[in-house]
Amino acid sequence: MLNEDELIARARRGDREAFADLYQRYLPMIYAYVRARVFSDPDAEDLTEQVFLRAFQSLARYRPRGWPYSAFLYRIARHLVIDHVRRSRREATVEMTGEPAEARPSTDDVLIRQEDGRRLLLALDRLPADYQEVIRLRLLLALPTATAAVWLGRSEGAVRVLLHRALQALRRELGVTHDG
Amino acid sequence: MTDERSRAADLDRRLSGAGGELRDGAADEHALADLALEVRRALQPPAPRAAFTAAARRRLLNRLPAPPRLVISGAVRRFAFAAISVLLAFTLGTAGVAYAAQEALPGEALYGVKRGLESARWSLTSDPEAQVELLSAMAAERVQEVEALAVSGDDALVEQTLEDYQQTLEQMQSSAAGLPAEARSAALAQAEVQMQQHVIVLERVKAQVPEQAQAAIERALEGSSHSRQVFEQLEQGGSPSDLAPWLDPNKDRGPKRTPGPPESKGRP
Repeated sequence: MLNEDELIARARRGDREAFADLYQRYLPMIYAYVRARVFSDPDAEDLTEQVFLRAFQSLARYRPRGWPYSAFLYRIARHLVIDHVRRSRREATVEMTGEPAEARPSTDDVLIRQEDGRRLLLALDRLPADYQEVIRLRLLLALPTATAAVWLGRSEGAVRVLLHRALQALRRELGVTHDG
Repeated sequence: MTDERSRAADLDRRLSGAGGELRDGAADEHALADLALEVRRALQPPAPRAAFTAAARRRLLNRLPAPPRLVISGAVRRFAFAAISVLLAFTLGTAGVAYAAQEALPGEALYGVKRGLESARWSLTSDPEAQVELLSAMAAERVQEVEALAVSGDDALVEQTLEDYQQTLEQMQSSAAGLPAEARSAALAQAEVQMQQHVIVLERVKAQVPEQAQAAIERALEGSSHSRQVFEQLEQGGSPSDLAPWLDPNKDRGPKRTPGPPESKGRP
């Protein structure tokens, strides 16, 4: 398997398979990030495709400078999501629209999980933006601390502290008290 | 390590599944880790649909330009080879100087050559995307110079180079405002990622230098933060004037400079 710099170099020379490999490599994490922000499969798919289109159109100018290509994709994704949310004029944190109604199973367990999710989303939405972002990257995308640090432009220690504070703040929003 | 950092590290170990015994009094981190797992279980987004993955891949590849095929005749090839040979013989001497100048620091003999080469590249760059990219590379170079100067202890040159860095950021803002809409998000995303790296380096340098130089680094960090806000504003379709201008309290706000790399302040 080629390393990232080699793939990017090949893609810049017009190697279509290299483009395809970059896409396959980064699609899951970029889609996960976008989907965690917009809560709609069609919107997430459209925005994810736009991320890769814009990134590939600018590949000729991209210069690897020691940080992962995913950080570049993340910045594009983040700005497209912000634009999308602004256009939609609502943060889709109250409505979970990821599944069509006819595909949603109706067992009690699923309903309880959906209610838990709604409660958590409402609490998450009340947190400061950087707390929300570190929770998305570290927990929802399950990025390692080192990767989240590069994406956020902070040191690894700063990301650990940020996540610690974010979870404490989330716990306060949920009204959970710690005993002991 | 502060107590908060220790507790954050404990939490990180639990979330990463690294195992090991937690320190005494780390019960709170157990609870936070449980909350983190609850958040992950409830809110983890689904994987992309296989149909979307395949269809988007096809669409993206179909939109990629085919690599150009350049056909060169034998006569053109022979002429080009001869011309290149002459050019190589002529430029090897000056190329050596230029190569050595790449690593020059402010105050060194070749630093003027280095900045002169930057000016020459700038004068040949008219495309806004290329301008932003060039200025971003120059800003990165200034940050590396600051880091090297901090090690040598020359605080006056550290401050001067930080001023050059901030001037380069201001020029990036001007060039970024001229980016066409379709190229804006990708160009600014790359610039922002690089600027985040500047912040990491400058924070590291700040911890190493005396108090007076720390103030200069702090001003540079504030200037960098303002530039990133300007880029965010541009990406969202606004303009730099939508933000309040950032005024360096130590800077003499004389007549506005025309676009171009800052003049070299190094000794010849």
